[in-house]
Amino acid sequence: MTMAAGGCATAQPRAWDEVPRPTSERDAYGTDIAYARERDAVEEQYSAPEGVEFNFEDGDLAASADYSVERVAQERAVVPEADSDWGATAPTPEPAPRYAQADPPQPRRPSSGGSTVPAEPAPTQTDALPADTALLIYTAVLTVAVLHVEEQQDALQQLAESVGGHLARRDARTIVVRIPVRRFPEVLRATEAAGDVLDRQVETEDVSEEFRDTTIRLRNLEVMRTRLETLLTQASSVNDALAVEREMQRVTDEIERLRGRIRYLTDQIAYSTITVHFRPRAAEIVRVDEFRLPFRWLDRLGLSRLLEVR
Amino acid sequence: MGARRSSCSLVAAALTCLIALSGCGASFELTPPDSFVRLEDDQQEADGYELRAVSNDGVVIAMQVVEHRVTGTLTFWSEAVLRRLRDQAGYGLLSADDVQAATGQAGRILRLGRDLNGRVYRYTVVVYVTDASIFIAEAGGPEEAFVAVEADVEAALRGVRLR
Repeated sequence: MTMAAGGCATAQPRAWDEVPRPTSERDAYGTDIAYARERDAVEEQYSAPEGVEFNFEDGDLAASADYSVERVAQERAVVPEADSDWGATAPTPEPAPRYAQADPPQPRRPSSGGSTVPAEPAPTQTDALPADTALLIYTAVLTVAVLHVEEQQDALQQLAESVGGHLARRDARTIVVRIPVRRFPEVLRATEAAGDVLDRQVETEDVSEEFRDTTIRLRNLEVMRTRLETLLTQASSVNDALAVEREMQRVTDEIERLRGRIRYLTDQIAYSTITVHFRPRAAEIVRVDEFRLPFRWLDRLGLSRLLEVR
Repeated sequence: MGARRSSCSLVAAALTCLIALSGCGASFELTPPDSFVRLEDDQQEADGYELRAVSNDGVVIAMQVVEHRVTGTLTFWSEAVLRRLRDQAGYGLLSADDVQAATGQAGRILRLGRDLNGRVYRYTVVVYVTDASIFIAEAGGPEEAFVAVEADVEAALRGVRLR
C-alpha cells in the first residue's frame, strides 16, 4: 500500500497493510469504489474546527464567512487601483470565479495510483482553485516623522478599527495594525498623509501555491486518517492495533499542523498588515512659562541688587 | 527750632541730586529723605545706578534711567516691571497706584513685599516714562525699617523732577 501525504509517497510496507481488505470493485482509474464512497461520506461529514470548512468534491474551498478564500479573491479584485503605486502585484481585475464553477469534477485516481492509465489526465486537486486566482499577502512597513507620536498612533488605531481591522501591537514608537485587504489602500494612504514618510516598503507575497498544496495535503491526510480508523477496527492483533494507532497519531499531528498553517495563511490573506514606525519630528520647544522680555534692565530690578551697596 | 529746621533744609538741599545723563540727554532731580546719605556716584554708576542713597537702618533708595529706544507706554513698562518681579522673582504685589512726578510726568508706583533669608522685606518701585527715557525709582529694605520711612521714601520717589 502506498500513501500519499503532502506529495510524499512511501512504499514501505506497514503493519496495517497486512490487514485483509474486503474485496471490492474498482473504477476505470483503479479506485477502490467502496473506499471512494467511504471517503466521500467522510468528506461530507467533515467540518473542520474554528469555522474552517473544506469541500473538495465541488472544488470549493471555503473557510468561515470572514475567511473565505473566495471572498478573499473577490476582495483582492478591488484592491488595485489604476493610479495607485502601492501594490507590487496587480491581482486579476475580474471577480474571481466561484470554485464551484470550475471544471466539473472528474473521476480521480486515488493518491495511491492505479494500474490503469486513464484516457485523459484526471484533474488534480490543485485544480480546485482557479489557476488565475492569486492569493496574496500584503504587508507595508512605513517610517513616518510626525509631531505627536501618540496622537498619530491613536488616530491610526481608530482608523484600523473603523474599517474592520484591529490593533496587533503597539509600543512607544511603533504600531502594527491588521486591515481588511480591501481597505488596505485607503488606510495606507491615510497613514502616509499623517506626516513625512521617511521610508516605505510595500510587499506582496503570493501564497497561492502553498495554500493549494497545504490544502491538498490536508485533504489526503484526512482521508488517510479515516482509512486508518477503519483499519483499526479491523486489527486482528494488539501489535497491529498499536501500529495503526501510532500512525493515526502521526497523521493527526500533521493534520493539526496543516490546519494551523491554513488558518494562518487565510488570516494573512484576508487581513493586510501595516507596521508604522513613528519618529517624533524635531519641534521647537516653547517655554511659555519662562517667557522673558528681552530688556536687560528689567533683570537689574529687585532687592538683591538694590541692597548690595558698596 | 527754627534754626534746626533751617539746618535740615540745608542738608536736604545738599542731598538733592541733579543728574544730567549725557548719554540720552535725560536728567532728574531726586531728593532722598533726611535720614539717607547718597553714595559715591562713580561706584553707583559702575553698578548701573544713577543714584543710590542709604539709611542707617538698611533702607536703600535708587534711580535707574534707561534709554527709551524701544518705545512703549507707561502701562506696558509698568506691567513689564510688575511681571518680572512678581512672576519671575517671587515678589508679592501689595498695592499699585498712578502717581505724578513733580514735573508732571505720569508714573506708576508698585508696592511689593518679599521674604529674603527669613526676613520680610518691602520693595517699592516707581516707573516714569518719557519720550527719551524710562526712569525707575526704587526703594527697599527690611520691613520694619522701611515702614518707618515709607512715607518719606514715597514722597521722595513721587517728588522726582524729570527732564
